[in-house]
Amino acid sequence: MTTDKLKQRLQKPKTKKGARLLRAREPQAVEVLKKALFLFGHNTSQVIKDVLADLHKLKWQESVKYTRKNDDVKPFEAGGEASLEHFCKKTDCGLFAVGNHTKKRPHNLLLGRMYNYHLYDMVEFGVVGFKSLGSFGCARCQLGGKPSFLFVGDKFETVPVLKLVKNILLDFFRGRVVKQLNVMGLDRAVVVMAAADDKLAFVHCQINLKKSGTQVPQMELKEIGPRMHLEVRRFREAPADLSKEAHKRLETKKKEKNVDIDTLHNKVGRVYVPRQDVDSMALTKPKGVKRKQREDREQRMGKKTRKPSAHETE
Amino acid sequence: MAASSPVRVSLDELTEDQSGRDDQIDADGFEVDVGNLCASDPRPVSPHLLDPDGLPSIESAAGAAQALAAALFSLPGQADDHGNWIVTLPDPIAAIPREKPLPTARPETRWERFAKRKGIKKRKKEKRVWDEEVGEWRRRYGYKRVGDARDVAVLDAKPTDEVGEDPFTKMDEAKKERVRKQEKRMVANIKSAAKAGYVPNSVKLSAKLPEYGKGHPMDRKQHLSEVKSAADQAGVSTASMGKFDKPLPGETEGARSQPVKRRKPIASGQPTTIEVETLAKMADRLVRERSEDGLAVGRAIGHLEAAKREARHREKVERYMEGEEDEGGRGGKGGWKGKGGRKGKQGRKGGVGKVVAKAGKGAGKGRGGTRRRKGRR
Repeated sequence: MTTDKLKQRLQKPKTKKGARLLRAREPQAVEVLKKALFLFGHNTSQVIKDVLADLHKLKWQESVKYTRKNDDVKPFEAGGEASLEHFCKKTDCGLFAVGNHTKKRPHNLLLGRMYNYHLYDMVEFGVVGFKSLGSFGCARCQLGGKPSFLFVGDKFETVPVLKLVKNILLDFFRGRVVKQLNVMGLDRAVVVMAAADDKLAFVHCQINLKKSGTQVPQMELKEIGPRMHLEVRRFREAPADLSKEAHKRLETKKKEKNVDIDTLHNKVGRVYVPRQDVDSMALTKPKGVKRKQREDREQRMGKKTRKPSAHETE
Repeated sequence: MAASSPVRVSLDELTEDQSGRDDQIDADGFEVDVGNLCASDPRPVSPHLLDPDGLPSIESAAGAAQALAAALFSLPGQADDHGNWIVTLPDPIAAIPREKPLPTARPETRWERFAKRKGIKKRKKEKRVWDEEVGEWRRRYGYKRVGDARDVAVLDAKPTDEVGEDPFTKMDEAKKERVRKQEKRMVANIKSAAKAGYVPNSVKLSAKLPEYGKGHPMDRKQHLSEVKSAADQAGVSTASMGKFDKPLPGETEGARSQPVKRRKPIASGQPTTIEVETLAKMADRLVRERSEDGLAVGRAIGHLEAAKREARHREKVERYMEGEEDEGGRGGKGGWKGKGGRKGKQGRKGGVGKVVAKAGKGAGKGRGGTRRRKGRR
């Protein structure tokens, strides 16, 4: 066979819908929504299954849930995150939750994030005491709305793990980033309370706004589930350089000031001159004044005056 | 965007009804991040609010909740058509990392650079153009477009035209050539953009083999595997089945040998029924092949297929004669090598020197094993 040079061909999406999907997956200037991927590790327990099911409901329509167990999802091990990264790339998810159950780490919940489809950071919790969404009965709030967040405890400011936990939980459950909000539609709250360095209570509540005497209504919290008592196990923070890159914001172009184009298409600008007090300024003096000053000085000093010039009159 | 510090809302600013436990409030206040709808209570949890598990109950969140409500309802807003109060949220304070890197601007294409240099500006073109000849508005591109050069009954011959050439075919081919060149330029643009670090999701570059004459371009893996099997077969096609040939550099011993087809041996310990079945099958097949009465279905099919193949071949040869342009160059050379199943007389057409039709070997059962796709060597 002849050694013809391999030519390259443009592969464009075959359908407009496909093209739209691919374009939606490209990086956006302002990120609005992060999807979550829920999956299991190599072994599960009923508790952890219920936990993932409930969290998947909390992130209604903004998450993907895998049903099978995955033996090779071990993000804390070197190279064990490859499978997870691949799944996140396939489903275009920036958040993940892995549920696992081992003797050493029972009912293990791993919440984490991706940056550019690579592992960014994650926190591992042990679920101790879980009450599912279903066990609480009917709730009045709607799925898909934005929740409010309430973090109780000074530990969230002082303990580094809990700072990370706060950030991850905010990212996980905040939903679509919006500019405008219907305040009466605020019907649920994610309440996270920390009493010890590694113990948290995650409580999902319904908000009832009651009439108070003023414009600001009374916020009443009613627990609707799920409720989890979490024990912080392992965690991995993002490397500093990756973190720096991930926190970059798009530079907003500054409008060029004082530049105009007049009717003759000339570029014009204004020169703003401050108020000047001409009288008190150190300006150059006229020749006659200088001469007079010099003569006065010489007379005072008693020096020999020089020959008077033609202009001078004595 | 995450420039301002957390808003400190002191409980004193809130209305009287909520506080409930005014004895524990200190002057610090809550941290409210309205953009994220988040409120934090930075005070340590008071012990009387812990439940038996040692964890706070939701009453401890009441203060933060009220702080958030106060901040929300003090935001500027307006009522919408349905009477809902819509507020404008400020930018979020908590810095949440991005999911994907910031998008990079698409680098300029070769044309864009040229146009910029020359000062050529894009002009918006209308979709509909007035066609004077027809006397109606026609579209600029597409079906029944304005000034479609092909849409005429007669084309005047130019002095440069050769006799026997079809100008319409020439136009089609010229168009194909333009399209091919344009795609080449687009690919070059994409490659140079990729070099500069811009790789969009919606476009991919794939390696494609040149088209040999007609037919579909094959993907690389398939082509290589076919070449390899052809090379292996050639290697085994010596008098001693490639046994004494030196292996090529990089080839392992015995790589070229084809697996020998073995029949299941008739073992002595097996029940006689199996042996009887095998022999019966063999006998049936032999009898079937050699019977003279009865319809040889396979043969009949073979005849029909051969006739169809001949007809198609004739048509193609005619078209080849008319359209002398080298379509890819390889269509004429090797693609017409006749294989078994073609009757000699029907296969030959006077003057077509490039076609090699083997003298009829009789219509056999179509040689399925060596069937090849059209247009390939």
